[in-house]
Amino acid sequence: MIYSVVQAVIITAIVAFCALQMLRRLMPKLSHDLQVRGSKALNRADLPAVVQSIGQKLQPVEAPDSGCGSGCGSCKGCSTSFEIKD
Amino acid sequence: MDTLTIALVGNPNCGKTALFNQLTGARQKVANYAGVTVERKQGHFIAPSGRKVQVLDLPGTYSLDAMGPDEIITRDICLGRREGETMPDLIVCVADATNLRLHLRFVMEVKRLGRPMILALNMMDAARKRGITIDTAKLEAELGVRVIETVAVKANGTADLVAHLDANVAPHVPDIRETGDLHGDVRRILNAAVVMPQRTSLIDDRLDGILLNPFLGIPILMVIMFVVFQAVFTWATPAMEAIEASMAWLGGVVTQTLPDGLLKSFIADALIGGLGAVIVFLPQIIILFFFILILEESGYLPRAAFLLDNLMSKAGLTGRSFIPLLSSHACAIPGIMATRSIHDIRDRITTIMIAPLMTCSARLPVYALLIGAFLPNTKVFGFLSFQGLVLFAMYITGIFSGLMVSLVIALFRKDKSEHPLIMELPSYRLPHVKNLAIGLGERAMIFMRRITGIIFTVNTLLWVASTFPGKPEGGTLPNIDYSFAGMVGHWIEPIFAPIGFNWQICVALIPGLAAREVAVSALGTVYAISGSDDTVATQLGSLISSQWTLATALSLMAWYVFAPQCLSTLAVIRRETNSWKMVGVTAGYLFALAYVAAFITYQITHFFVGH
Repeated sequence: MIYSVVQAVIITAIVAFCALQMLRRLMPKLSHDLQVRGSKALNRADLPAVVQSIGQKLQPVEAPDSGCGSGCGSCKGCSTSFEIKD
Repeated sequence: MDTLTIALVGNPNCGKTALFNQLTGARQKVANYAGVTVERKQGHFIAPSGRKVQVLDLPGTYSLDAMGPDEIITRDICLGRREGETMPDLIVCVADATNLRLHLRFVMEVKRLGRPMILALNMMDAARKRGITIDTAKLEAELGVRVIETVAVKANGTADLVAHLDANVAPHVPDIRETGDLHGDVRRILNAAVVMPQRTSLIDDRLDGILLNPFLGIPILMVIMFVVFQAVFTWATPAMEAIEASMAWLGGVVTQTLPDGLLKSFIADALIGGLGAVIVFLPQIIILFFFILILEESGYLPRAAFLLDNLMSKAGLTGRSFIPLLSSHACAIPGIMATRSIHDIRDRITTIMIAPLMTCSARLPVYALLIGAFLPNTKVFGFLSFQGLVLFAMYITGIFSGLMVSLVIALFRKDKSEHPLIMELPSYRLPHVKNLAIGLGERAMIFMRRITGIIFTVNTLLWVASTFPGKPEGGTLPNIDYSFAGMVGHWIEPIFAPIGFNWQICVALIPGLAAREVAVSALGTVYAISGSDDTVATQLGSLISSQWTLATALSLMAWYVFAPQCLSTLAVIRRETNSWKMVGVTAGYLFALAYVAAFITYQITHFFVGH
């Protein structure tokens, strides 16, 4: 009985983690929006401090701009993209 | 005290940006030039006398011929023609002292602009280390331009340059009387001021005489590539067998130790059966990159580009396409990103469209599995591995297909202009063991990260789809036939039946879109769940060889030459072209080619061999 519960918990955790990873990979915008919404919902002032801290941790870290304005210089000033009319 | 404005110009990789960083430190502003996506970097520093020096780091370019936006910007700013930009008081032309044969050509072009300039002879420490002697006084006299030695990567390496800029010397405008023969002028100046280490240049010349010979060069390149693929198959066998044995042992331990249930199925089928089926190919990937790194370190790879330039231009490709296409043999994603160095948009699109045809390292596990399972491990002429020969042929097929597609695209192009390639041919050198070890370590880590990252993730989800819902009461078929994955596999099987794919292959192709090698782990998982023997997936090769026909195996190999089984590659095409249309066209033509090639392969093999 205990073994059944333990294996169900382990498998559920692994599968949930993998599903989240796939969501992040295949739908980065949706995953980001969901993360922001979740973070805001948990970070409300009327909720306990523990829940608020989880909400703060859930807030996505804004990565610096990776385009030409970032100053990375890795492309040595080459053009990064161009427009093709669809 | 008035402000001095200087512009740094030079070939790519001359150390110009390092010099800019050394001079300006953190006092930089990075933006784009108006209307184009070319980076504009400006900074300043205060010289010891208190004089403010504004520094503009112009885009690296091989020439001032206005062929690309970066070249146009560099030329226009130097001449004060660009609107909204101040004309620099002084042009600081930066040249790599270890490769003056190439860099002096650009120096001469800048000199012809007739603007005040000085030459910063960078990487002087590296030049001395290599035994290159440069008489700066003679160089100065021959060029008619002030020459200052710099070592941009060292803290005090720009002291002389700063002192010169601080001295408030009236900027010197060079005399631009020229013979008109740029290469002749460069040769004359080099003969007068530069002494190359005799041994190095002698060895370079002798080796180039053989390796770049118009008749011998291409056959030697073919032989080298051939040896690499022979080694991939023959050298890797003991290590692969050891990994297979470890996986079989681990599978046995799990089967005997854990009670029946989901956890046992997950570990045995998804982890050992799925991931174990891919990890087996680590030795082959390491051996392949061992050779690629040796060729790169020894200075042979740029020569291979030189040898293939003629062939590529005949297929309608520019010489600049070589590096992106070469990178695509590791992975199409950096290859497609490397097309940024191609100025002509049409050339760039052609290169992007054919990059997925180059055989990336993710295809290696698929090819190796099928070749190992279906083709005999016999010797041709008594010493050549037949399996290695077939792998070599798969790589050649990818390259040949790319050239053919490029040729077809070229037929529809209105603009037939050619863009010549200028490239540096470095001196030959013995590969450094430490660099090799670091490079191989990185490749092994990348492969392992893929196994523990995307392959693990996709395989876990496939395991869920292959396990649920469970077998109904009274069900006689294996569990997987009643699962979601089984249902999808059976549903799409008719589409792929004409090319010989069974439903298990159809199931594996779907998660295989996340990354090509996932198809191998997916097959491992699907067959492990289908079978009653828990260790069956550790011998995936022998299992599929007993269940598939040769025609199916060859058809799947043909499919993998063309099919864009990689969503990340399509995403990068979208990002680099800003166009869904390009993604659609590329994916459409690649899938169509894949289906046609697999169909022809399957039908012909089936006709001659039968089963």
